[in-house]
This record gives sequence, structure tokens and C-alpha cells, in this order.
Amino acid sequence: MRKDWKTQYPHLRNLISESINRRTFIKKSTFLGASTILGVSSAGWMQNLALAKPKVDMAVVQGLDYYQSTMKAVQMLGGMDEFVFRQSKVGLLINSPWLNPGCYTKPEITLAVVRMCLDAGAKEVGVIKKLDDSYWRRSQISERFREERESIRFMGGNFTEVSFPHGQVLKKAEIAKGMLDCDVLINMPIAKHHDGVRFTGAVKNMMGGQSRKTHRFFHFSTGGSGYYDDIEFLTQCIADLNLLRKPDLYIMDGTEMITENGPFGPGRLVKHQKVIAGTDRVAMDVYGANLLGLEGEEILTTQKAYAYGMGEINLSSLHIQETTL
Amino acid sequence: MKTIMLIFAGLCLLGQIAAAQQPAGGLSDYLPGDNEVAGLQLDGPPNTYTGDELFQMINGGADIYHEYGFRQVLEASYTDGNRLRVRLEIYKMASPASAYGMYTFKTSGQGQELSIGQEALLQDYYLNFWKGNMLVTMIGMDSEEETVKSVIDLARAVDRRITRAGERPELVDLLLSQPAAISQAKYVRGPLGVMSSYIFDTKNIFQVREGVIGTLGECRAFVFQYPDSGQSMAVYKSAANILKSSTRFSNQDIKEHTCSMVDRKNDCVLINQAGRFIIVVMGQDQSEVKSVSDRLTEKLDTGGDS
Repeated sequence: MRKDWKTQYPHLRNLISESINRRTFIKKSTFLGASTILGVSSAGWMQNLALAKPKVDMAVVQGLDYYQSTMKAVQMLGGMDEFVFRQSKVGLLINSPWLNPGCYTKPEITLAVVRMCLDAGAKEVGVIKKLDDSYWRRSQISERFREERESIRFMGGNFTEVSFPHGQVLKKAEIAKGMLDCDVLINMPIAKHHDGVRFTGAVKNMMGGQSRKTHRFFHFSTGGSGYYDDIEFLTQCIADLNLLRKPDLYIMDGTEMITENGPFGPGRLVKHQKVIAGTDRVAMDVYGANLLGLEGEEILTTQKAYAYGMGEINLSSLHIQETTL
Repeated sequence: MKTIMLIFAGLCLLGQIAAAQQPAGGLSDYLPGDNEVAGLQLDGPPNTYTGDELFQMINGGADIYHEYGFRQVLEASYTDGNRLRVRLEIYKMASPASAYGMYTFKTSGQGQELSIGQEALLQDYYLNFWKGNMLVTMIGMDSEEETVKSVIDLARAVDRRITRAGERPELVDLLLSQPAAISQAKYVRGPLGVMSSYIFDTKNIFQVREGVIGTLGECRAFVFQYPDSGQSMAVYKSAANILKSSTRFSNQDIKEHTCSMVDRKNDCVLINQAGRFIIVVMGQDQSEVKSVSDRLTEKLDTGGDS
């Protein structure tokens, strides 16, 4: 049933994903159905649904124990139960491939997310990008988390073509099937510098789920000979790609990150020791950019995602809760 | 006859295996041997990437290397068998100017200068140095004292093996010299180098092929060099025309050789075409911007329009 909804009505899914995530959609649809069966007028409920807002828009936890910070940040948003339902298949899009310090989402953050997903009753937790031993070797605690590590499946590859009817420049892309098929998608970027687009965070991390062919389209299709010859086009492609599906949750690594020579590094590090959790990708990126001393308005991917109405660029209008462990 | 053919085929096969197992070629000569630096050994075989293969190693991060002129890189890791790990990257660039440029791109003003190669900078947990057409980057996986010491020792060991030195670009030498010496100079060879410092436009409106970015007083200065004054003038006119209607700037005042404007951070931006150069100076204090621009123009005029 769910698969039918996704494959038959991708256009509807895109529109829906802009306002509510998939889990909320299922929850609310069930709720509405139940209210109709019980003969309750849905008008009042509808109004409540429209007004319903999460208690906290963004949770920020500062501390040196990144595992605990991640746990706390999600807890501040209401707990992983708010996003992951029992027997669900969870996909994690982790910015993991880079080797140098400050360039990848910390394994401690990944381990905490996996633990929380399992505790919430997830049937399966998978990663869109492969995690090899070298990733886990970067953390001193990973040895203690054998169960979490062994529970992780690989959901990447197996690319399938998806159309983007509303994309300004991107009309089709090859996307990892696992990213489309999972019930819950959690985007886990690191906020860091990027030589080409200045900053990479939640919005740009979606590129982690696409094929090399699509990657080349983003970078070279307007005839440029270099990766960043047409930044306007590239950043528009990235914004368009975000029409695909709104991840249900974002957990951003703001612990230590490079402020130059990104995405590969090495580069000068800033160590804010923060883990940020939220559901608004634009706001997450503005917050992340601020950590690097940049303004959201300076970042083209943020600007374009904001222009699509994908989130809030003005952080003062959000309820951001910060705490220190 | 059959036996000879079999022996010949066997030899060919052995030859192929040997070729496949050969170390990474010329660059592997620069790798310190096991325990040449006390307690450190290679952690697996090194990898080499040539030309566009660099994208396999660092994806989009490769573009800037190609902008400067990239040939080949060797990547290796060293370990003490426990937690200590140091990554080593030896980049063979197209020329000493390419290696120097990439060095300036990868290093920021802060760090500890060391006497390794022709210039070396240790920053927190990593070290870069350049020598001849080689750029070497050593990265410790943490900034513990022992790790940093290994980073430095390995860098010295690589340095000893690179015998050929090279010259810095002339434009850099000129701009680093007094009077009006630029500091924190970055030598750029294309739009990515410029855009990492400042975005005038998302297109390469200054058609940069060679330039220096640095600071002078409280101002940031960009000096772009062209083959002759005709090209410099043509680029200036085209850029000024784009900037005239750019929403990134306000108060644009465009003249034949000079234009000024204000950017979104309220910095005053002054662009001056002089000889084969375009000089851009920006800062908060308008009079200082003008003064720095004049000093640089005067200095570069002495370089002549060759």
C-alpha cells in the first residue's frame, strides 16, 4: 500500500513533503480516518492539524560526549518515537566518506541515532552510503557498540530514475532506491566549508543519495569543464533535488568542522561541540553556516531552498532550544 | 616449442603481476620506509591517482587542484600499530608555481612556520609544505602531542627525499616585497581560488588565470594579471558591465578605468584597471581603500606592461 502511494503519486508526494513529513502524514491520515469513522466532525481537528507545531523547532546540545549530546537533542524534539514508528525501515543519509578531521559526521552521532531507532522499534536501519571499518576506527567508543554496528544494513546503490516535474533545472535524477523505499529518512550532515558552494549541510547532503551520472549532470551539464563552473546551476540542482522527499529528521554534526579546504580538508577547525537536531532543513543550514561565521543569505543552496519554501531562513522566528551537557 | 610458449606465457603473467604490485611509481620514492620515523609503518599499500582520477579520491575537492595544475598524487597512511595514525598526501603539480599556489590555497595565516621544504606551515593537526613542483600534506588524526610530532618527523623525512626546489611566481615576489607589501598572500590561477575568498559573481567575470589575493593594512586586495593591457581592459569593461547591474552591490559608479561600489557587508569596493593588471581593493574605510589602491597601482606600474 505504501509503495503504491510512493510510486504512483510521486507528484503528490513531493507536494506533501513540503509541508509534512511522511510519518506525520501517516499518523494524521490514520487520525483523520478514525475521526471520520467515529463520526466526529473533522473541521476542528483539521484546524488543530494546521496549527500543530512541534514544541521545539530545533534542539542544540553542546558537550564533549557526542553520543549523549545526540540522544539529548532528539529527546528535546520529543524523542525518536516522534519520527520512527514500530517495524519501520529507517534510512540514514550520513556524510561519512571523508577521512580528515572535521569533514565527516562523527561515528558517535551515528551510533546514537542507530541506538535510538532500534529502541523506537525500527525493523531495519540502513545507510545510503557505505560505512567501512575506517569510519568506525575514527571513534574510540565504536568497539563498545557492536550490536548497533552489526544491525546496520547497506541501502545504497541500486539507482532508479526519478522525475522532478517541479524542478527548475533538474527534471530527472538517479536516486538510490533505498532512499526512496525507506519509511523514515534521517539526514545526517556535517556543517562544514565547501570550496565550490561555500557551505555544505542539510540541503546539500541530499546529493549523497544520487548516482555518479546525476552527480556529473549537476556539475557539467551546462558545458563547464570544471566542477564549479556554473554554481548557479549546481545550487539550483541541489535545491531541486530536495523536492524529492523531505527527510523526517535532520541531525547535524556541529562538533568540530573545517572552515576552509572543504569538503575534503584538512583545514582549520572550529570546535563548537554542538549536535543540532530539527526538521527544518533551511533553518538547520542557517544555524550551521553561522557556526562557520557565514550568514544563511550568503549560501546559494540555502537561498534557493528558502525560495522554494522549504524552511525558515530567519532563526529568530523559530523556537530553538539550546542546552549544555 | 610448446614448452617455450608456456614459459613465455608464464613470464608474461609474472610480468603483469609484478607490474600490478609495483609501488605507485615515481612518487613512492618519496615515501619514508618503515621505522625510518621511529615506530611508524605504512598502514597498507599506498594509492596513486593520476589526472582526473583525483576525483575518485576527493570528488569535487579535486577541481581546485586541477585549476592550479595537477599531475598525480600518492596517498598513504602510517601507523604505530595502535591508535596513532598519520595520513600523507604527496601531490605532483604541473610546476613550482602550481605547487606554491596550492600551498597558499590550503594554508591560512595562522599556524607555526617550520623549516621544511621551501615553506611549511603546521596548523593544529596537519602540516603542508611545498618544494619544487611537489606539495605535501601530512594529517594527524588528532592533535595529541605525539601525533603532531610524528606529523613533523614524517614531513622532514619526505622533505629529505625531494631534492629539486623551484621558484615562486614573479607576481608573488613583487607583491610580497616593500613598499606596499601584501601579507597573507594567496596565489590564484582561476575562479575557484578567487571565489573561496570573495564572490564577485557566480561567473568568472574577471577571467582570472593568474593573481594574488592578500591584505594590506585593513583592506583586502586582489591583483589579477593578464597577458597585456588590451586584455586587461577588455576584461575590465566586461566585468564592470556585469557589476553595474549586480544586486550584490549598490552605489555603482562605473568609469573608463575605475569603478567603485558598496557590497552587502557595507565594504567599499574599488576596481582599477592599470596596464596589464586589474586591482580590486575593499574595506570599510573609503579613504584607506583609495590609498591602498593607489599604492598598489604605483607599485605594479613599475613592473611595466611587458
